Amino acid sequence: MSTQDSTSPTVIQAPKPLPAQFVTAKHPDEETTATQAAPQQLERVPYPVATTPTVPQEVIVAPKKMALAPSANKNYKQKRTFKVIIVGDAGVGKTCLSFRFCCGKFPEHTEATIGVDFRERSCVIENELLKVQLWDTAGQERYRQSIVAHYYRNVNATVFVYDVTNRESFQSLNAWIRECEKHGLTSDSNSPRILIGNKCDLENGQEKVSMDEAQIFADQNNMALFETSAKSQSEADHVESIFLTLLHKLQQSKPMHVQTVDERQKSEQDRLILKASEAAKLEEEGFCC
Amino acid sequence: MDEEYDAIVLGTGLKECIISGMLSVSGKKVLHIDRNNYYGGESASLTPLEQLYEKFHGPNGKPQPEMGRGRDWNVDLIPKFLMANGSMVKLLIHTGVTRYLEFKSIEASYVCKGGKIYKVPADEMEALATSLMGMFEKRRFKKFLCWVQQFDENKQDTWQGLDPHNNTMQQVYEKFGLDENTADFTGHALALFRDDEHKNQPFLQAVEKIRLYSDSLARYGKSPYLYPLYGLGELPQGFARLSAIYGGTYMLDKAVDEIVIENGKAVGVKCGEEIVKGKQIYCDPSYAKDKVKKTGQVVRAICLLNHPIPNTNDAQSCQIIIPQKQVGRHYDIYISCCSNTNMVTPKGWFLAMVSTTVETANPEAEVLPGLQLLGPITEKFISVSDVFEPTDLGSDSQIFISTSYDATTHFETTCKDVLNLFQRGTTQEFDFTKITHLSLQDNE
Repeated sequence: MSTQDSTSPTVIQAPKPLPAQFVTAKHPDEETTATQAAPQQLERVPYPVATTPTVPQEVIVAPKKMALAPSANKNYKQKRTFKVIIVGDAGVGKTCLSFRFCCGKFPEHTEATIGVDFRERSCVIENELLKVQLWDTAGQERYRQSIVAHYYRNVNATVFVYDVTNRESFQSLNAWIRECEKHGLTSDSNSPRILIGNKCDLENGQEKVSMDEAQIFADQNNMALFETSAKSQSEADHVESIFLTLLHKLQQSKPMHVQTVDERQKSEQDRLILKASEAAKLEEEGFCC
Repeated sequence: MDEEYDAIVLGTGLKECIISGMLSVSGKKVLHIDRNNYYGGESASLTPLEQLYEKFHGPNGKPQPEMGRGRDWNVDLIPKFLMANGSMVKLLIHTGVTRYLEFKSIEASYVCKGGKIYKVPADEMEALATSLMGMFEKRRFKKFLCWVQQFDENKQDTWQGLDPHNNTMQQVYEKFGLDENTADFTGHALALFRDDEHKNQPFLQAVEKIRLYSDSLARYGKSPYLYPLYGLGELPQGFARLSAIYGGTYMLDKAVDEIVIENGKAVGVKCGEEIVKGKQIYCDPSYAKDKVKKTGQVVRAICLLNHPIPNTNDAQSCQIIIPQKQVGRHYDIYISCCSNTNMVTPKGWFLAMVSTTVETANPEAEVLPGLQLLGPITEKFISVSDVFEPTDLGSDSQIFISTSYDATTHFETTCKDVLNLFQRGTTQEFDFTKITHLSLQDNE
């Protein structure tokens, strides 16, 4: 069964009845067998495969022509890493958006990739090297409360995504906002939030969420709204610009609390992060329990 | 309903989450269900504080306003620490789950003797200064520790006349001339045995446990223990994410009615009207009550304090061990304490847990010697949990049940049980080389 490693819903028994398009969502290979709803609605591309799926570094190596790419032999005055999470209902295209931004293309392969925690892209703005980590839900959003708490920790920005052809996913946004607030990501916190209506290339008559109502919702919740499509090539620059806008916002953001050198050293001493380098040591010792 | 899972895991306790992660990483198709709407089951950290009050006092239980923001509390239901050089840390590093977690050292470890609290010496300076033992005893003890350090099971010349297979720990104590107090301290505060059984067994295991303690201590200094920021509940969630990114499907807040068995073999689980097919079932004892037996009880008192534990030098986190003999018991009493520095309480608040293995009909009275060391207690929650172990090892039924969490202060037995469970279920040992997703930040 080819869907086994993807984040596409392998829903066979939902806790609550899900809208038809979720229940019938299939791996694109099986798309032809989906008959209950309009085929466009079923668009759900699983985790894209990278050349070497087991080594995430390779996944995120950006094509040469990507904007603001850092040059290899240059020293930057500062380096910062930002954690950006993408939330929204299953099937709205979160993974594709992150793939489009970090790898510059729409995931072509339909094979499932496993073991990807987040995608990363480095950009240089004002001589500062900025790394953006786009964290994926790992499919745990299918049943909303199943996303682990640490996903929402140390987050610098939140991207809310809905599918413009799927009203349900738009209506779920309130619940996603509440879920984020539960974990301390509120509109008045310093981390920016943006709203993306995905799949705007698809036509879907009355069902479609209009730009106007989305704008009202975005204003109410203090978010910037963008409509785009991760799939359409013509929108590629748009996806890029959305994220770069976000990046600029992050770059200008002041850290909530500027640590002094002493404070940083102290907290680093206090906080012991077990590094993979230690794993090497342990391997020599062997693992036994 | 044609979908069939390789394994259905019931319950998101730490053991089940590790198993789920290991199975997913091994390429198995895993469905993971929990009846609660939070991760962790028995080993959860409850947050916000309101959730803890609800659990113990029902829907009307409410924390007091001075306890601060509920969200700042992460209250472990089971108190444990990680040995810095122990198997849980190895498991975390090997699986890369460390990237989701941050740890801090527990500041100090204490042992109770004659009603007084003594710091367990963390280095030679402290060992020389400690009033735990007299001058001459200290020298003998030092000789003993040197022997432990250089002991090698495979090199007979390091044994110094003691045979690891025939000599008991008691005989070792006698050879080094250690008095009963020192033996008590060694067995309970260093080797972390819960009772005195080890004294009559070959000494190899005790020596290994003392070594684990000293190696763990050597790693980060102040104490041999590590503790994750935001509480132990982070551990199951870390492994759950590992499982999810390797394709595991997660479903919380889903009642499981029963495990469906055909011809003596599990074929799936029943949830309401639905039946999900699965070739194997892994679960905690609460999901397979007819296939487990009760082996004992553990009593745990969760105490909310607005001050550090007295006589601990205002330690923000610590452990205190009350060896059984000090209070005329068979099993030791353990106290663990964490605070805002570990992100489990708001500023100014402390969480202390007193736990022990139940040996009388009045468990609450058994933790009293521990409670008395805490000073004024703002709020106290007592839980008595049964400890179960499986009566069916699963080779025929394909139902693999974990044992309940014991009263030990660390995760060594937990890891052992998980690896054993994995071995029973897959008939092979877990291959750690299958995990290859170590991230960039780890490589930096």
